[in-house]
Amino acid sequence: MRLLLLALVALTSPLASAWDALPETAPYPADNPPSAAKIELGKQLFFDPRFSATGTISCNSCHNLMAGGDDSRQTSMGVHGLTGPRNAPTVWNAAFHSVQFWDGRAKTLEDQAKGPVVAHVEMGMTDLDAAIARVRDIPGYVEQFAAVFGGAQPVTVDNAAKAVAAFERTLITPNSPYDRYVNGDTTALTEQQLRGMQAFADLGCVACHRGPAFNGPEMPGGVGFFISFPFHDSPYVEEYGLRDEPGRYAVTGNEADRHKYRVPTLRNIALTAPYFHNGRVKTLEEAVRVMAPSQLHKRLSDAQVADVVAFLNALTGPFPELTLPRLPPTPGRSVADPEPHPTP
Amino acid sequence: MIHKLLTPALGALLAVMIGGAHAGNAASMPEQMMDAMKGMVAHGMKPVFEMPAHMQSTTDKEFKYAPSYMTVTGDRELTEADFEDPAMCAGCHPKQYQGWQGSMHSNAFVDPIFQKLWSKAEKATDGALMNHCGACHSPIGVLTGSIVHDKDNDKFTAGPIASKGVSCDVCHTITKTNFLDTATMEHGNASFEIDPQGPGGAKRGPLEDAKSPYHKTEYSELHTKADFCGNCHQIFHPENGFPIERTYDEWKYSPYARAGIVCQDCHMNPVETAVRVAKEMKRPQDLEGENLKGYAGLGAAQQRDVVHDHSFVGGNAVVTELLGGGNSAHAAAARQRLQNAAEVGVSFEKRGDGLTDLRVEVTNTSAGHNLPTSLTDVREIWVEVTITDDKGAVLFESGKLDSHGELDHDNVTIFNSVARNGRGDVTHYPWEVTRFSRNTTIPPKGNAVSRYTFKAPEGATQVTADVKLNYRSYGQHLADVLLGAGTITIPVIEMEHETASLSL
Repeated sequence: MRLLLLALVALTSPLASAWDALPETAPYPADNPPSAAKIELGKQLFFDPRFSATGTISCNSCHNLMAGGDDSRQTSMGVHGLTGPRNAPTVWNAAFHSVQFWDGRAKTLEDQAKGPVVAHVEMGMTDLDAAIARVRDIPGYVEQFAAVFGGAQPVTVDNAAKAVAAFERTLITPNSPYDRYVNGDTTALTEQQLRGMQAFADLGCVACHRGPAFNGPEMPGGVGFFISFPFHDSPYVEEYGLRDEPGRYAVTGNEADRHKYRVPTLRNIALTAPYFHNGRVKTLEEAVRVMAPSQLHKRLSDAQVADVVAFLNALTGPFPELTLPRLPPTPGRSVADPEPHPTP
Repeated sequence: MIHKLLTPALGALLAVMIGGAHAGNAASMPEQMMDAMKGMVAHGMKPVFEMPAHMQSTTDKEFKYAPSYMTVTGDRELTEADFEDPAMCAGCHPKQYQGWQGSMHSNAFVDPIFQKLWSKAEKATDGALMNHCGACHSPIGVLTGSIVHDKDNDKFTAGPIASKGVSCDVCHTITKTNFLDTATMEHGNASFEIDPQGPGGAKRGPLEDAKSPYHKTEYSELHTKADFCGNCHQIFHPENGFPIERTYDEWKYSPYARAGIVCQDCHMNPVETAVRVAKEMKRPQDLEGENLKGYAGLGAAQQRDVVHDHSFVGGNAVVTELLGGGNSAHAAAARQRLQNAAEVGVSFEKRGDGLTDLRVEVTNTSAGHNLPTSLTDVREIWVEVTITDDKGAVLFESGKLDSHGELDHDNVTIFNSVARNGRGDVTHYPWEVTRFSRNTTIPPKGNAVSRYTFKAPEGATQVTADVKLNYRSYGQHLADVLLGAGTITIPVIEMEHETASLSL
């Protein structure tokens, strides 16, 4: 029965290559090859809250690696309890996105890494120079930057971003039950998950959520795969305020980009509730229900929803073991203190 | 006794046959002219001031990709990033993608027979035909300048999307036809303007209210017209102007054009539909009980009356099989189409002089262009005749292949054209053609009658004629010259097979 289903799933999928396992390594740009030292440096920067206005918010605050790589909030909370407009995308497997942010405004992980540092409601620094000045103020970082990047002034914003991006490229989750299944382990998925996989193909979810990361076709780096959401009208538009913000239009000013978003990965989707750009949909079941009429002009039965959700659960983990980094110390001194506290 | 009689009888019979076997078009000349004029009117020819935008000529065109007439909106320089990879389109348009993948449009650049011929052309003309051939076989390759000619191996390479030939973004970003700018003021030689806009850019097509969550959509009246296809399915010699391929013209002056039936109606629908279109002379959407309904893309809200098949099936069962990678669906569809294109009528007519005529009438019942079409000087449709008596003795044969897979061209009823170069010699190389010295292709709904005169042997009580109508995309000799002898056997496809008997 399992073998039969495998054959069926393969045959009826619209693309022969639709079912791809996640690679064991993530791609990286030619100008930022990984090294153990660089990844370790990036890991420290990722976990270090000292580069936020208040010295309390790190990348990990909103992209919690001990959880789904997000913060389980509707929208993220940054310095001074301020909240932003959008739901934090997971950092797990972000390396497989061809552009970053919901609206794709960063072409690379390196570019993305610079954004939240100076976002008023996130890490809240006045500018990147102020942030990098703090890094330079910590001798343990200066030594590491010199060792990794060399040159007269190795502690630069670009190098910091490169280190963070190099670390983020290790945050990937191959070998999920789904991956094991497509690699030939026919026992990796339950009967219900197989039904859900078939439904995922037949309903057309796979038109957008395809490829190894379920985030769209392979795109050249820096070119995003953007889709209108919601594409069709439904009561959900009002119920969840799905068209309350302009999406990528805010970046490009092109009318065609209104309500367009980069297609997010579905890897670990079961862990990253709440859902969508505004985080208004609380459960995966409801997210699947919203997607069907919004994108595919279909209505799903409860059984179909359950099957698809079961399949989506097969895209979870496993997560690589992580040890917390030791941060370069500044005993008795807070590099964040000179920064005056802005009034919210 | 019979043997003694048969031998001289056969000799005489052959002599009669050579003089008597001929192909003639049934439609008389004045009617053809009437058809032509009606065709022009039905085709949408209107006074210039009423011409739709996509047909209007402009005065500021520079043909950067000459001798083709391909132009780019705004004369931009293009790269592959300006084009969508077909794999991208496949996500929402799997039906269209599956149809296109393996079609001759997808093979247009990689087709090995085309590449060998093109390489010969390039060498013979010192590169003058790069854009002429390339603009229709790999428009993206010409536009992005990525085509490289490997002269030593007679091969061409191009960028990854360019290699995919006539792909999604080629047709779906064409904005207008440049036909009024060509030397013939007719469609052909890549007489189109293209406006590719990269990922998510506008795709143009026949649906007025199309909407996509990914790309912009623009309605294009041009995509509903045969004129659209005519931009490439009509080729004239870039120097001497001789019409080498005139599929579009053949259609334009046909009853199909008068009935408003366009290329897309037959070549972008299943074979069964195409057969009905030709039989009932109605467009697919007007065929009673024909269900072509569907959704143009995944997740579409609105069902469409006709969702077009993108496999563009014609008569090519060779390359589709060769490049099919084990998938012979396109080749099978080509065979099926050939087997539904014509009808053969076979009858005997006793003559007053004691001889008998075998009359073979071939009718182009279902093709909206001539049979054969396109490179008519290399395509071959011929009549294979075997006449036997009741004792099984073969009285007459014609149209058999010899041991080299060749036809005796002086002794066969063949529907094709004979091309000649400037010196008057027969040629199969398009770049050499200056004229046709013969054209026996059968126009749409036209027919051709051949008579084979023979003498039945004394004592025979019955004669039987076994008649086949055969097709092949090119003669074996041309394939051997281009690919090397023994590389490939060009399949002979039996379009029709009829028998008739006469009691004596």
